Amino acid sequence: MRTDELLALFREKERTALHGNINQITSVLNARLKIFLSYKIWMLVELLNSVVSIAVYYFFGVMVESEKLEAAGYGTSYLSFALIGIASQTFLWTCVARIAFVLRVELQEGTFEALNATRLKIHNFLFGQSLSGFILSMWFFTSAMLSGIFVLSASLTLTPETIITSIIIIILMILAHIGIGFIAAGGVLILKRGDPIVAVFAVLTQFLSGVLFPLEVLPPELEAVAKALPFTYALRSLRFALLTERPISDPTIIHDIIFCGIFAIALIPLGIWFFGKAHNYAKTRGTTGHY
Amino acid sequence: MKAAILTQGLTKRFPQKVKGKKEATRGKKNMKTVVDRITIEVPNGQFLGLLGPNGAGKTTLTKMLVTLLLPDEGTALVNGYDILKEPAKVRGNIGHLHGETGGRSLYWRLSGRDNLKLFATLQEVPKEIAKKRIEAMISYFELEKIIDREVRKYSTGEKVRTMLARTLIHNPPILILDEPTIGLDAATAVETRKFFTILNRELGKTIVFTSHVMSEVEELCERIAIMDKGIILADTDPHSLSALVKEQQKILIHILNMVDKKALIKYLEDIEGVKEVVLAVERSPITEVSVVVEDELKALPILASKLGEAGYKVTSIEVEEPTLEEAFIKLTTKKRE
Repeated sequence: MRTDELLALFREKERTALHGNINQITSVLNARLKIFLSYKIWMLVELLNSVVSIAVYYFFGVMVESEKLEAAGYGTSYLSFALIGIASQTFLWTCVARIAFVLRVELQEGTFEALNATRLKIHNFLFGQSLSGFILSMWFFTSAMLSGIFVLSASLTLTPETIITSIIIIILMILAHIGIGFIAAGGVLILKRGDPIVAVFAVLTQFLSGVLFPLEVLPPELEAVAKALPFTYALRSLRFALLTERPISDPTIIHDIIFCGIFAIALIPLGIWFFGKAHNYAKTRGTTGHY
Repeated sequence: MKAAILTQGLTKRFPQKVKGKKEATRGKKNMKTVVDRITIEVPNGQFLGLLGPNGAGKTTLTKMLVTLLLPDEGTALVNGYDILKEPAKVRGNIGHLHGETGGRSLYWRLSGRDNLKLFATLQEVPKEIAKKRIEAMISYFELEKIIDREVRKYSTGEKVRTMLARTLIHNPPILILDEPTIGLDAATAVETRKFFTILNRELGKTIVFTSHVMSEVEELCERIAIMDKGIILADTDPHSLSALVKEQQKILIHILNMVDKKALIKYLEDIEGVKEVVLAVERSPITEVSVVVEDELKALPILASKLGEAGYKVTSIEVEEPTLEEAFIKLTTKKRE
């Protein structure tokens, strides 16, 4: 192309600029999904990891007394119980650790500073990154569940009502934890190495919320801690819906939904506020390009 | 004329490491002033060169203008927008290219085209315009063959050209180019510099250009500000900058096929107004002689005529100006002393 042609293009009068948070969020989301999909082997390994984990717990199942599960209201199949726990933990990781992880990569690669030099609003960055994580988590969740059902013959009650109830619970599970993820990402902006703390938090939550065993087997002190975690309630309701076909109007499920909702209302604004403060801190210290 | 950039007492301090402590702390005593109350006005359409040694504060100053860094004191207006009150509008009016990153600031796992599309959306460029501009810049920067490959497979030059396209995607009126030609081969650097001149002259873009390469700044910039230790030591056009540090009036003479150098020196020393003669360099068959005089304008015709009368074959005779490099070294060294 000749210089004058290029210049003519830059001389053209522009229409009103393309506004909107949705455009910014979807462009961040698209970019992150494309980046993820470019790591083909990693994606395959992640998927295999979920499926293999479930297969391992298939053999664990023979060691767990079905009476204990039944007493807790989860039916008698340990495999089905563990399948929901393992498949759901992908959402926990996405909410709590993913943004922190992605942000650290962006800091290392210098792209976070480049983003900061554009009109991108920082909360749109957070939502775009989160959405890409949820899409990927949904993919892993669905794959794990399907593998469990069709390969290992896990027995889940899949009716339109239980599926809708599950989707509502999963959305609330995500909303209840995403604020923690924003706070964790803010921690990475300040400390540059906040991700190990996030990993410890996620592992502890997994352990205490009963991914692999009913809470009733925990010592009373740990059970009390578990009852303060929103993941505990989201997981309980999801199991009730998919294992024992409890409807959304079930008092326990309503209780759990309200509990997760309260967490979401409290933590999302807190997370955005904290990330904003951390972002300003990094801009004051000049570390938006440091890692 | 409205100022493209106007700073008022812009100041930035960073904590510095204290002996025995792992991390720098922000105690008052530990703060180092990296940019010190800088007040500067850059009119619309000006090509300003910002020169300074490493650690002078150039990048810190430009990062504050792009709102990547918050100042500790003072403020700045960019195209009339306050960097503290309207940072998003400021970013929409600036194209920032930090060459030192070597393409680090692109998404390496995305193609060049996807990078351009992403940044066009983030800069709120309408879709049809973005599409046209992307295609035009791919063609102009000769990126057709690689634009759909992942950026990680690009050479340094290709990365810089893609970064340059990204910098221009929203057609900003102001460009902040921080060491933009770093890592480029000579031919690409020449082409890139030409392009900057075109952007400035043809589109009237205001350019703030930082570089370590004096010749580059001298070639491109109509105004040069020399920075060191956070302050601006000199701020003028390239010619006046040289005059600013001129301590002696000198005339440079080139003579062809000269045999007796001693006789030449003696002859020159006897001419009225000559203070000192230095036989500078000999590149056979040309001999370069530098003559310190009392008044170069008076001495120049006298020396030309006297040398002619004595039969010397003078190929050139001119007033010797300090180079930008000499001016830069003198200014920054003086300050340190």
